[in-house]
Amino acid sequence: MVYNWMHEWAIAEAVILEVENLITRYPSLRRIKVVAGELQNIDESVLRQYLDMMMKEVAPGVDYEITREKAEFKCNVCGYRWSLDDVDLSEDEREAIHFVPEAVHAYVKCPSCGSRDFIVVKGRGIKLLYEVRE
Amino acid sequence: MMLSDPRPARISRELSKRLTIVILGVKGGVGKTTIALLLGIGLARRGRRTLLIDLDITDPNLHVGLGIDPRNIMPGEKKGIDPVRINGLGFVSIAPYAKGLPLALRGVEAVNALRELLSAVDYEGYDTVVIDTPPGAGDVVLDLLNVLENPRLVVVSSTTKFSLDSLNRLLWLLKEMGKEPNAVVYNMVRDISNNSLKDGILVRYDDELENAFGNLELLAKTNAYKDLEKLIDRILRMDH
Repeated sequence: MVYNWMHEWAIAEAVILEVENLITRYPSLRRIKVVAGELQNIDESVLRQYLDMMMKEVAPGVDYEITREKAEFKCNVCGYRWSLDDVDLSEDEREAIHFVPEAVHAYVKCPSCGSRDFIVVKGRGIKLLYEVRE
Repeated sequence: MMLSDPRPARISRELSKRLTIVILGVKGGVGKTTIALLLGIGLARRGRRTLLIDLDITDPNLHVGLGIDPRNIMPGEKKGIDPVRINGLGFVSIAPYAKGLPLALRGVEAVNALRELLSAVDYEGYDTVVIDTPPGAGDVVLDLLNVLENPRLVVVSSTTKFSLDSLNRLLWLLKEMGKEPNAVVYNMVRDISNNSLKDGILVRYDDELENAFGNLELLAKTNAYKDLEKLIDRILRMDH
């Protein structure tokens, strides 16, 4: 198989390592949800390619699904909330944010008051959700 | 549903396989970035395949010492972020992604940026990692110390009364955490006969440094670099 090396591989590898940790801690784990933030905008096909290959090996009884989470920002100064749809970013800026989502703070200001002091409420990068039944 | 961050697992695995040196500074302006830079140069000159990582997330400037304009570079990607190469050194920083613009990050977001950078790097080809950090013991430094399994710690202080006062507190904190430093570097020392500093490595105040920043060959000829060779020796001994 020919792989297109991308930094998504490091992210996928982190997911697999954490799944290994989780099944050691919770042997009854059967399902995980990989939540992919809109801000990071990872290439889902690369993530799937790696997870499909590795999950069989390290967590054969565990299913996974990938879900997307919309990004939301909140201004720490005026409290205004907005989404990525409200923001105008160049291709280069999107690329930078893809690698390090916090780079968004360099390119985005609060649309209401102009402050750079805001937080990414949700939809930044990759996180895992799982349920454990004792 | 329970929530989990997958990034620390990869950071811990990749960095525990390598000689990882974290440069901690008691305050801003004590020369922490200079020491990280000189140490990185020194380790590379001794044959270590060295990666320099700038984790001063909100105010990175290691690139200045390396002579790089962050607006003109963008790291590539292999099995992760492919570090920029400069005269045999690898380099990773948030600066190329922020293009020199201000980064106003609150604690949790600075920690997210730290975890993202460290977990996304393709470390293949590097056996040594030198990490520069923000001053003091704030969120980024505490998270870093928590995530790394067995880093070598170098604490940098100047010899002003303010710095020495802060140094005592930082050493106390590290001791309580069970993470005592492998070396204390007293930087910008004007009187090297000062016996009260004999427990540390003394690096002289060096006017030449300012002109040498951006030129790794010149940096390796400075008195500060020569003074720091003791630290390089000590770190290489630790790895045996």
